[in-house]
Amino acid sequence: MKWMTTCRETTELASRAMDERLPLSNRMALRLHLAICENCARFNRQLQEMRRLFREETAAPDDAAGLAPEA
Amino acid sequence: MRLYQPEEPVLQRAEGRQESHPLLSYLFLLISQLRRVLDECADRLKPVMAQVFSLREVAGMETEEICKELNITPTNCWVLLHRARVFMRQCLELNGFSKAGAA
Repeated sequence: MKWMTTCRETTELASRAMDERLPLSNRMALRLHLAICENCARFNRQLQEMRRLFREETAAPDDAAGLAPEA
Repeated sequence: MRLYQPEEPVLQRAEGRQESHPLLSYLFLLISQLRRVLDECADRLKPVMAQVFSLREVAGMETEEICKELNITPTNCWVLLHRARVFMRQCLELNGFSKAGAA
């Protein structure tokens, strides 16, 4: 089991973790690296933030349509 | 400071008003800039990457479904997704939205 990952491997794991539940060994390696590497931690936060942005961006018009009095 | 908070009730209420506070006008300007940058960045993705990215990140479909739908292998699908995320993150950063996610 590989428990120290490079930054490249870590960004790939961070990305993958957004799509599926990773095996325990991968999750441990990811957490460990994110705890000590500010750059990878920021990359991970930015991916999460980007997803939030995109999902809200498309959800917004539906909400607005529901609220509009003339609709 | 977060640039984009559409869930903020104050912003939603203010959207329908004619008169608005200068700070709100500024926030709306930032939001419209962000929309434009998001669109421009997405336009620069390769078509298949844009497809995978938008189905996953925007529509929220599961990767398995996306693979089946587009008839690509899971590994390929995942690589495309990762590259699209890396590209979009960088494109947003280079276009002035670098503070998002900063500690």
